[in-house]
Amino acid sequence: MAAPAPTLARAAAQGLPAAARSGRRWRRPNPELALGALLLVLLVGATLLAPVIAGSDPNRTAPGLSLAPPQAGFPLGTDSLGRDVLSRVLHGGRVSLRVALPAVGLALALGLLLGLPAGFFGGRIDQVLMRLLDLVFAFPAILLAIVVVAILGPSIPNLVVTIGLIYAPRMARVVRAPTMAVTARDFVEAARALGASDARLALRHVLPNAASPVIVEASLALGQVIITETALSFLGLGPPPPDPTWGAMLSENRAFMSFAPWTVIAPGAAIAVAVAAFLMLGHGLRAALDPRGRS
Amino acid sequence: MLAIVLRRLAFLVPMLLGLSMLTFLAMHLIPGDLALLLVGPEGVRDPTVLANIRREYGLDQPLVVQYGAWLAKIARGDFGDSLRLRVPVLAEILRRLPITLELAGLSVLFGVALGGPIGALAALRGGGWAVLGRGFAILGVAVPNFLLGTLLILLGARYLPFIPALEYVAFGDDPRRHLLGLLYPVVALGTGLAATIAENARAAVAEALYLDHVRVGRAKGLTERRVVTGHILRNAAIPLITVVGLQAAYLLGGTIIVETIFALPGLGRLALSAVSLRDYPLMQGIVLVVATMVLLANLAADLAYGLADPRLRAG
Repeated sequence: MAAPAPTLARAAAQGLPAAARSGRRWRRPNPELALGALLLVLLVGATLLAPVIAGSDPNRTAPGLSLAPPQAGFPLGTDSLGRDVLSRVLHGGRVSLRVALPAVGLALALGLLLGLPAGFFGGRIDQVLMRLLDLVFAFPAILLAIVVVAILGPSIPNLVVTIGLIYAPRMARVVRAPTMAVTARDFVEAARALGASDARLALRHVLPNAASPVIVEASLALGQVIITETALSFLGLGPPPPDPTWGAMLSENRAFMSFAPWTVIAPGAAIAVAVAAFLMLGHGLRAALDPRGRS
Repeated sequence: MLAIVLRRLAFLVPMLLGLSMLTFLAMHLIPGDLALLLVGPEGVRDPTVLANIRREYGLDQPLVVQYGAWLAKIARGDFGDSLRLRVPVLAEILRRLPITLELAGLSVLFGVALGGPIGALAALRGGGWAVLGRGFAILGVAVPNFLLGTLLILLGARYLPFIPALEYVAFGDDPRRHLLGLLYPVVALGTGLAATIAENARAAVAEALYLDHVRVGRAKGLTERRVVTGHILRNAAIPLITVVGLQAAYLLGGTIIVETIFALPGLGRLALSAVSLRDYPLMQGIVLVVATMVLLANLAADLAYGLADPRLRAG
């Protein structure tokens, strides 16, 4: 199995520019990418199968079973209201993904809309946009998120829009740099000479070759967005009840954690594993896609 | 060098104007009637009261006029009065600022002291150190400040009961308890920074290993120790200044959460209470002051970078 892979990779890479065509990178083991992808598959699978795995409703209270330690029927114990911690952690994962995926999608779309023209055309538009982004970066993301969510009201759609807008400038910057570099390359000039329009040049010739760092950043941003969402939930500004969220579980059980530590350790571990999975996927993709990233 | 500093300082003026404009617009473009916000949730909905508030705050004027009036007041140091605390916004911000700056400053020291060596060892030694460095760089970010803070309180109460976790003592009252009380908040806030620093330090040291003058140093017959400390680490330290400077926004944002968890009476906790009480002038003042501090920190990092790198000093 080991021998044909590089050949296939090289054949598949024929369409790519010379710098990316080294088939060697596929032979290098990439434990970070593998581990990140594995964790993500487990995580997404577990949240999708939440009703099957956990059985009980995340909001059903078991009378007389308040803060019960892990036992048959409640593998991760119960919280102060007698609710199944495992079920709440798994359903909380659904909420996190329901916020994070569309938020990053929105940030990516806005980032492309701003960053692609800026990098492609350069000049005055680019200068103005970049100075504006410098200013936006002076506002801490969590401060902006708190202010906007508190005023709009915490709901999943409001969280998606707020977080998406906050991460858009970052995406714009990540789109712009490689767009600029690829636009200056000879093959783009060649396509221009053949009469391709600006739109065709930008979308068909530049964007596909500038996509790698953007894909990497999107994966890293998913991890960051989960942190932002859980932080907001922790501060009481996340999706409102009855949706269980990891951040809210952490903060509402803090009062009981000295004698019922499972109530905070379970959502805490879920946050750490989910964020780590997206970060490892991002770092792993960077090493796999960028030949210079291998050190 | 002086010319560069002056040019950068002059550029600060339009940047600050831009910040004030963004802050103003952000607050005014948010949907909803500001007059209703100003009366507060329990305030009267009497139309004449609302009309009076609109007149008092100039909300009936065009946006440009409102911005001009607001900016003129800000320039005189008048940020308005807090709606709930009934004190001048700027005075309250300045009263809360020292503890936040102390928390952020100590967190930077902690982050550099922990992340720098881990990153350097990962690049210099490789093997187990490299794995540890990667693991730390991932976990330091994946365990966010509010989770780490919660775990520190949980574990600290059990195993280190002599460390005060949720009390704040002013430095003047008892310096020892003051610093002990800041221990967990600094670890909670600084660990994420340490992870970022470790990752950047590893990359910087790995790059410095192959610089020409390192090879020259080896060829001259310097001891490995001299090469590492004198040639590699000194070169790798310079880009870290920029990394730390760019984390200013992240650090100040983090103080909101960490001060809330550990009940520290700083600017971060004030920000959260201003938001939850809908104290609109206080919110605006805090956002503007925090963004200005981030801008100044970035500028300071840029200038420090110029001072540290002789090649930039000449150019």
